[in-house]
Order: sequence, then C-alpha cells, then structure tokens
Amino acid sequence: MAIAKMEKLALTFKAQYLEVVLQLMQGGQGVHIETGYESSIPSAKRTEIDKEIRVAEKNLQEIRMAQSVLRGRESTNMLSALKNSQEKEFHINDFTKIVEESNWQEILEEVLQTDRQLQDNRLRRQEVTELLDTLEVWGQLKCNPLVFKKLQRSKAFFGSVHNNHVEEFIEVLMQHEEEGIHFERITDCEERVYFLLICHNDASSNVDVFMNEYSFTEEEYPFDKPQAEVKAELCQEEMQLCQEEKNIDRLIIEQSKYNEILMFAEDYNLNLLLRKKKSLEVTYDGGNIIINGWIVADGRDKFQKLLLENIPEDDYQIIISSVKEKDIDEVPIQLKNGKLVTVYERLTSMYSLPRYDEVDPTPIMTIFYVIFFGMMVADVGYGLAIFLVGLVVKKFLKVKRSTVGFVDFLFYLSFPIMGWGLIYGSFFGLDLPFGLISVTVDIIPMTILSIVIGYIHIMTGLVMQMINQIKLKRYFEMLTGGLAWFMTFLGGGLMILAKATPWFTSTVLFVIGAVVLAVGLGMSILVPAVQYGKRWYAGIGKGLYSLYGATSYLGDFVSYTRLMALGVAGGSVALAFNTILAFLPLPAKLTLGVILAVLLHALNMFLTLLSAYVHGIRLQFIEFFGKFYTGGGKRFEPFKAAEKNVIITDTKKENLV
Amino acid sequence: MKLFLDILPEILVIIGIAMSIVLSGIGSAKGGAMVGKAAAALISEQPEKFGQSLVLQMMSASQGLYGFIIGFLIFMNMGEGLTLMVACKSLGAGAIMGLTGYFTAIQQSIAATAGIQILAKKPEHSTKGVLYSAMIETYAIFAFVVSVLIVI
Repeated sequence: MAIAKMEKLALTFKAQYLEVVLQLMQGGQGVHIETGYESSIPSAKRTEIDKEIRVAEKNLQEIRMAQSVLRGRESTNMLSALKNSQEKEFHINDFTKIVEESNWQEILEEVLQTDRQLQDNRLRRQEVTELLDTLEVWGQLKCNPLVFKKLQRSKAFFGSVHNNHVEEFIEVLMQHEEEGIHFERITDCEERVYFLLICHNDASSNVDVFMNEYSFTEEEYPFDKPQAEVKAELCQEEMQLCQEEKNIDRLIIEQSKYNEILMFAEDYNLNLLLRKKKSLEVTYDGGNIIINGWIVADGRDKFQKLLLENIPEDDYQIIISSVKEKDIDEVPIQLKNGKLVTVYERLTSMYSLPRYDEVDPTPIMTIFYVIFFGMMVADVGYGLAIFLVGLVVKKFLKVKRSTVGFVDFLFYLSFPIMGWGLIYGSFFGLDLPFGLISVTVDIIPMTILSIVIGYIHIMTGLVMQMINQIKLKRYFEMLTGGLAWFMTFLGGGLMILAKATPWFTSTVLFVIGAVVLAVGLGMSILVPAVQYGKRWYAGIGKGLYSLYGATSYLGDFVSYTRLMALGVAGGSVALAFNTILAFLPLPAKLTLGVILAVLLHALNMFLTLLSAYVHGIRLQFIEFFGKFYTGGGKRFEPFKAAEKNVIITDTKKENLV
Repeated sequence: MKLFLDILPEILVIIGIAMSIVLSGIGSAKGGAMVGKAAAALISEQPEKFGQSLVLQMMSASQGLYGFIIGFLIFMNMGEGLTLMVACKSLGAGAIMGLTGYFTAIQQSIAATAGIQILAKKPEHSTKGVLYSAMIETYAIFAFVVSVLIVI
C-alpha cells in the first residue's frame, strides 16, 4: 500500500526482435522505457522507420476520414449506443491477428471510394445547376443561337448592358436602325438587360463602337445543341444524379457496419505508430538493441516468462536489478493502493507524485478528504441521489474505462454525504426530526467542530512531517519543526479542553497542557541554540523568528471554518428554495412545483458538490500537504497500446469475438 | 423625525439585504460574463470542452449565492419588535458580504479566465485552473462565516 516497488531493467536483444519485444510490452507488461541514445540509429534504419511511420500516419488519416463519412449513419438509437459504448477487451496478440486477418484495407478503400463517388456526384450536380442557370438567359431567345456562327452577310450578337446605360443604348441603336442594325430586347435580369443585335456586315464596325461605348458584354453560347435540347438533357442528368446520390447514401448506411473494424484498424495503426516512434528512441548497438527502463517488481516474472516464450534464449539478455540509492531521483512512480484509495490517487497526482523514498500520502488524505466532503455537502437527499445515479451508471450502463474512475469518485463520496446529512438532520433542505446539529441554529458548535477537525488534520500533518524527517535522519529539524509545534498545539489543545469544556474541567489537565505548551515553545527556541553551538545567540534568534510561523498556523485553523460555511451555504440555499416553493398554491405545487424543485435542487447540488470538491482539495493541498509533503516524482508511464477504441489486457482469452 | 426614527431599523435592514444580494449578485454576474466570454471563444474552436469550461464559469456563482443566503437570513430576522441594534447588525452583515462578494467574485473570475488558457492547451490539468480560482473564494467564505455569525 503506497508506492509500487520498481526494479531497474536492462534488456539487450538482436535487432530483428524489436517489433516483437515492443508488442510484448504493449500487451500491458508495464515497462517504462528510458529514452536511449538517439544518434545510435543507423541512418538506413532510420529512413526505413521514417517511411513506415509515414505509411501508418497516412493510414490513420484515411481511417479517420472514412470514420467521419460513416459517423452518425448507423440506425441504432441513443440508449443502445450508450450501452455499447464500452470497449471490447483483447489480448494484444489476438487483436493484432484479428486486424491483420481482416480486410480492413479493402474496406477502407471501399468506404473512401464511396465517399469519392459522393463528392464527384455533388460536384457534377453543382456544375449542372450552374449550366442550367446560364441556360436560363439563352432560353429567352426564340431562335437557335447556333445559327449565329453560320451567318455570312450579317452578324449577330447576344449580350447584356448594365441597367444604367440601357436607355441611351436603345436610343443610339434606334438612330442607326436604317443603316442595317436590328435589335431586340430579350430579357431583364438583376442588373443587366439582355439584347440580341443583328447587323449587316457593313454596319458591324459601327456596332463595335456602340458596344464598346456602353460596355456591351457579349455572351458565348457554351453548348453545341439548341437550348431546349440542352435543357432536357441537363434536367435528365440532374434527376439521374439525384437518384445516384440516394443510392450512394444507402450504400453508406450499409457500410456503417464497418465502423467496428475501422475502429480496430485505427487502434492497430496507432499501436504500430507508437512502436515505430519508440523504435527511434531505443539504443542501437551494432546488430543489437538495448532497452533501459523500469519495471514494477510484481510484473517481472511474467515479463521474463513472456520473453522466454517469444524469443530464442540465445538471442537476448535481460538484467533486472533493484533500485540503488543513486537512482532514487530517476525512479518513475506508480501508486499502488486499495480499491477505495486508488480512486482518490488522482488528487495526489494532481498536486505532485511522491518521490520514491517518500510516503504516499493518498491513504491518509483520503480519510480526511471524504470526511471534509461529506461535511460540506451534508444532505441525506443529495447523498441518496448521487448514490442512486452512481449505482445505475455502475450496474446498468457500461461506461468507458476513463469515466469509471470519476463515477466511483462521486459514488464513494455519497456515503459520507449521507452520514453527515444524518448528523445535520437535513433531507433536501428539510429538517429531519433526529438531527444532532441544526444548520440554521448551531452555527457556533459547527464552527468549533470544523476547527477541531482541522486541528486533528494539522496534527496528523505534523506527525507525518516528523516521520519524514526521522526517515531522512534530520533530527534537529524534527525537534524544532514538527515536534515543537506538535507539542505547542497539543498543550494548547489540552488547556482549552480543561478550561472551556464542561466534561474535562480540571486544573491538573490545565497545568499539564501549559507545561507541554511551554516545552514545545522552549524547544523551538533552545534546540537551534544547541544546534548552533558557539553561535548559540544566532540559534536563539532563529528560534524566536520561527515562532512567527504561528501566524500561518493561525490562518490554517481559521481556514477550516469553510467546512462549516459551505455546509451552511448548501443547507441554507436548499432551505430558501423550499421556503419559496412552499409559497406556491397547492395545484401549482404538484405540477410546476415538482419540476421547479428538481431543477433548483439540482442547481444547488451541482454548486455544493463543486465547492466541496475544490475546497476539499484546497484543505489537503495547502493546509495538509504543506506540512510534510514535497513530491516531485515522475509518473511511471509504461510503454503500452493506444487503447482508443479497445482495451488491451494481459490475460489471454480463449473465446474470441 | 419621530416617524423616521420609528422606521429607521426597517430602512437599515432593507439596505443590508440590498447590499448583500445586489453587490454579490453584480460581482457574480460580472465574473460569470468575463469567464463566459473567454469560454465562448474557446468553444468556437474546441466545442467538446463545454462541460469543463462551464465549471470555470460557475466559480464566481457562489458569491451571489452567499449574498442571497445572507439576505435571506436577514429577511427572516425582520418582523415585530425589530430593534435598532439588530438592524445595525443586519446592515453590517449585509455590507460585509456584499462588498467582499463583489470584489472576490471579480478577482476570482480573472483567475478563472486565465484558467481557460489551461483548458485550451492542457485540458487534463484544467482542475488546477479551478483551484487557482478557488483560492480567492476563501475570502468570500470568511466574509460569509462572519456575516452568518452576526446575523444568527
């Protein structure tokens, strides 16, 4: 219970087994690989690996494209999708075999082909629509524009003039009508007016001048058939394209059955990519490859056995040694705790992982975190709601592995919430008849309770500090720091107990408390004096200065009043909501009131949970960890499979999907 | 004059309620708007981070809530036989909660807005942004504790 024992690993093997070894590790064999000498890779090998990486990346890109084509096209409903969202489990070798034996590349090509067809179809349809638009203007022309080209003695122009010039243009043309210029106004479009101009060859130079003057834009007839014929053909084609698109659509829906194999292929390629990238990071030594790294001591035998099964004995050498003193800075950290505590490891790692020679604070932190959280929410109803939701999610919905931790996190917290809810006698803000403490009345006792719990928390932190300092053999610091403050607060605590509570009133206790307190204060002043030897006066100065630290402890104690405040806040808001709801007349209460109650309490619950989550963490990080915990360990990151869509397990299953 | 003295306690209480609810409410609203603006910019690029950004935006919501509670508690104290002493206490409690709530909500939201940056670049560490913001809320909680102690 704490930090998993690590062992140092040095593995040397013939280069041809690199792929095998890496795949073994991806199978969940927990090896943290240290980056080797990059420059040791032969350049030919590097080029080869780079090429393989590019292939894998291209495959991945295509797979994702195919997935985006198929996305959302399955005909399943939401609920079953939610139920099936849990990943399937495979052994790495089985998984690789399944994917390699499947025809994923063909399927991928098929899906992409369909997509290309769809794109082509859409493109052509757009073209057709544009052509039809062009034809719209030509359609107004009663004659066949193909004839224009065949005219010998005269010329014909079809084109447009901007709205602003129309009047003048017509006027000029009218004036020259007798010179053999004929014109016809065909149609008015948005900003332009279309004309057909026919003139005798002799007049054409004149016409050119007018046309330039009024920016007449001539249109070129883009087809080789008369308008009506072209239109019929285009409409026919458009209908065909529509039909085709429907067919392609149906094909895509049919192809959505390939989703799973594409998901597998994605993981397969991701794994391949990871292996290839890792191949660039190991050390090459002639025909051999050296991998240095770390392995969890428990997994060592299994890993050795696997190596033996997969690689001829003469082709590799493995050296596993225990962690030496000088390695401590480099050992990666894997936390190892019981089922309950594991859920709360995320909080510790959010702060910082412990160093290999430190104690994992998670178990002891969990106890306090859970108590604090319960105290800040403290409502049987809210606890029950979380419990039920958590239960439903855990039992009936198969959630992804990444969300399981979060669900458990809240689920376990529902118990202290209900427990404190019973103590506070609060059920969705309603008063239960047997509550020990009332959120609305007993504010002072709650404050005292909060500070008492904080006192225990801080004292625990000081004990942890002493343990750490003893482990590190820093006895003087232990005496002046941890022990001196511990005794000061112990003495102070005893004195308050003797004076202020009716049950322990005794002068003896008070005197004992005073003595302990005096010893504690004395220690923090005198021990540095002893430590400094001849410069004892400097030691005393340092000791006196350290008493200034009392202010920060004072701040720490006050900080715990938030346990009360958030409990009161949540409880009062619930109470206020209930009071408001009580104003509603009966019919409204039963209809609108129910909906309102659910919404309002859901809002209050969310805010209370959020506050409890954050402020619970704060009390651990600042007030508790600050006393004894440094951290700074680096995370144990074993080389493993990508596991985006499937889960890779290290246990082999007989019955395959 | 006598009439004014008669209703003075009520006036003080109402000012207390108003300060508590209005000032903390404005603070929370300003803060929420500040974070919401930054969050909306993020969501336009990475819509999948909506849930986490909402948590950051909600950080300053608590001040408004505390102000509401204090206002509510003061309101409960009103009634027959309101003395000038109780009224002054109510005003004090409302002022403490209102002013502290107003400023902490805004300051807290500045930290939360910066937390949006964490969410954008390193979403796995976004809780740390929430924590930075929560550090500042401590002072709103202290104000709340004292106000509750005064009112009760």
